[in-house]
Amino acid sequence: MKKKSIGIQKATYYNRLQKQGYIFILPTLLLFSLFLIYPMLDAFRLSLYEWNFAGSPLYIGLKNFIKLFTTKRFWSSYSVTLQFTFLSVFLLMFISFWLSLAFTSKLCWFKQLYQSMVFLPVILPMVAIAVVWKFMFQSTGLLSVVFLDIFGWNIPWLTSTKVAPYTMVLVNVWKFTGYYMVMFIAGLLNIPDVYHEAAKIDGAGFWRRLVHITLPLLKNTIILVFVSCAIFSFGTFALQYVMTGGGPSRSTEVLTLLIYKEAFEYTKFGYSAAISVMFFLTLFIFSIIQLKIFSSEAEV
Amino acid sequence: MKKLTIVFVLLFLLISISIVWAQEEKINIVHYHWTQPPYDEINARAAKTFMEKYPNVNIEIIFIADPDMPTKVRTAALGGGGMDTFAMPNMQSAWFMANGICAEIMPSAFGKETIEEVLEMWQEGSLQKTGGFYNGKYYGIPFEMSSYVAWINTGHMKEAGLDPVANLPKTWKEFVDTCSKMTVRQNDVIVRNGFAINLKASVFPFLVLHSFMEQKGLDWPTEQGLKDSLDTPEALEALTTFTNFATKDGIFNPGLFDDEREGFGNGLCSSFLTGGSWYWGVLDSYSVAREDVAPIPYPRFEGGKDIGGPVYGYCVFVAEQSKNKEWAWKWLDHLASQPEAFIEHGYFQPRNSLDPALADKYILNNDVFDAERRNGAALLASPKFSETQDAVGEAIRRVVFGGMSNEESMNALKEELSDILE
Repeated sequence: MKKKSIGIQKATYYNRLQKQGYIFILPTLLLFSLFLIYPMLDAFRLSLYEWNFAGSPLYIGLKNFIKLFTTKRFWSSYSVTLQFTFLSVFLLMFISFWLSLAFTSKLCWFKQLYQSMVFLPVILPMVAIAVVWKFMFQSTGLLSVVFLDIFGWNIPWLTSTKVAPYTMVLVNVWKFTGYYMVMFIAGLLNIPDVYHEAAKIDGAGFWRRLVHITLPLLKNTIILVFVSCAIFSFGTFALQYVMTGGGPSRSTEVLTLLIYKEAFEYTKFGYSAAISVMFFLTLFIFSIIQLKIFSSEAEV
Repeated sequence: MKKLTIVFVLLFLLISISIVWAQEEKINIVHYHWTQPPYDEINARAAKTFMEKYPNVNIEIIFIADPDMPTKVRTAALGGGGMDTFAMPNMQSAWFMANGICAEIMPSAFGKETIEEVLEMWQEGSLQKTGGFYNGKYYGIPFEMSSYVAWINTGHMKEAGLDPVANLPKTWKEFVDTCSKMTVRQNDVIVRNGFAINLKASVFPFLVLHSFMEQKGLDWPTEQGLKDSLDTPEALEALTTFTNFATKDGIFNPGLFDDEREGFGNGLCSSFLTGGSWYWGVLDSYSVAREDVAPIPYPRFEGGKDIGGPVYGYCVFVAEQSKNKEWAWKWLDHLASQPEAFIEHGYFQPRNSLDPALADKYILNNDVFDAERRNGAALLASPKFSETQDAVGEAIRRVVFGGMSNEESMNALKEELSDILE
């Protein structure tokens, strides 16, 4: 009887604490709803209107979406964004995974120094990075001169529609490799050494251990890195805005840049909102797929 | 004592109420202006002198960074309060006039009876050139007027064996020849451009091509004229002349740097087409000396029209939402009536009250700038200016960076513009 009453007291205490907790987070929740959730939801409404910021919005149904699907510029921008995302995700995962393996290996010397060097670009602001790289990519810039003098290649880093998209990926990978490397290192350190030691005793080599121990036990980290990498790459803006402005000839005009231009340069807010909706839907579908993978992992 | 206190309290309340009343009775005018020292001080002084002249009016100037002006003014207009007058560059002003944000000029505020009398207060055509005119109506009065001329490095000319006076180019063909001689290469890579322009931003190639088109006799200041011009061989020739600078003539490597004004100032290019009289001041912050530089009129096409570089500027407007339009116009008239204060800093206001001798005194080579301002090309007045400019800039970039032919690019431009200007 006494135990029961203590239990009830505890439950009431925690209930009260929980209620108080809600009160504490209420201001943040309200501000969050007002400045983030409401504008996000309003973008869906706005995508059905024609509005140039002056006067009242005019309801036009799905016309913005119809225009969107028939406009070359949107599809070109969509494809530029997808290409940038796929390449960035692939290279970032590949490079950061191998770097993390190297830095967790006992054979590597001066690990912390190398790790810090690779991680350094992560803490630098993207705008500053873009400005510095832009100078290096000029035809008399450091990279151009090095490639010309050593290999005899005159690479038009930012002035060719064929090269500029890859230049963007290069800078993006340089900046974010350190971030994903740290995530992989955290995952690798969570794998108990005993598995590797047991496998070694059984005669398993590096590749076998990698395929049968490291990768399966790193699955959740890999999924996390993959998802965050894809979302961040898909939403890239500052890099293209500063380095190329979407050029040359719209070859680096990613979706976020198109949304910005349509809204703030051309004052087509409804159309811009429609592109935002498409942007959201793409990431939403991607997230659903990722959630499915996660839940199936949990079931296993 | 108690009675005395009550009397004092009542007296205090009475004075307070009368002060509040007096404040309320004052006419309050809020003006949005872009910030640019040392001109901010002149504008602030204008507000002070106006308030001294009319004590019943209170002027508040809100200074905003130039690139933020359109968004800030749009937001203020949409908010429905707090803005009576504002400045706007001609490339953006058509949007505000077309969307009912600007009020028409009120001649009575200027002490005139007709709009024609008001127009006579400024140089002929300057309201069009500075963006105060739209669709047959006058909405803004000029605040600044400038024009692009061609800037050439005479030091580089001498270095290339050219005479900096006799060999100054007068036609585009001569321009290419001169620039070609001044271009420097190392390992087949251009390390000093004979000519340069910032192709990353659409505005510069658009403005220069705009002049080319008008020199070819095409009507680019109107949307219809622009659309109709794209089928003509003259338009194709103008586009080709421009893109050839980078693709065929070998005088321009866009990969060398973005900002041609900076490149010219540092001696990395020998000529550019996007500087006004204000560039003298800009040049002083770079390594190239004034004596090695000459502003010259835009070259012309052989047999083409005698039209110079693009003319642009700022107008000041009264917002349609202003409750005191007459006073607002009076204030703008006062603000834009001190060209002699601005000219000291090389800033030209096309008001007829300006003594031409002062312009000659304070603007180096004013003969070139003045002639080009008068002969210059008025720009397109369209609420879709930004989009149009971007499409035109893209037509140039497709050829220069994408390797597309001029014909194909022109066709793509036609398609894009018919959609934008429909």
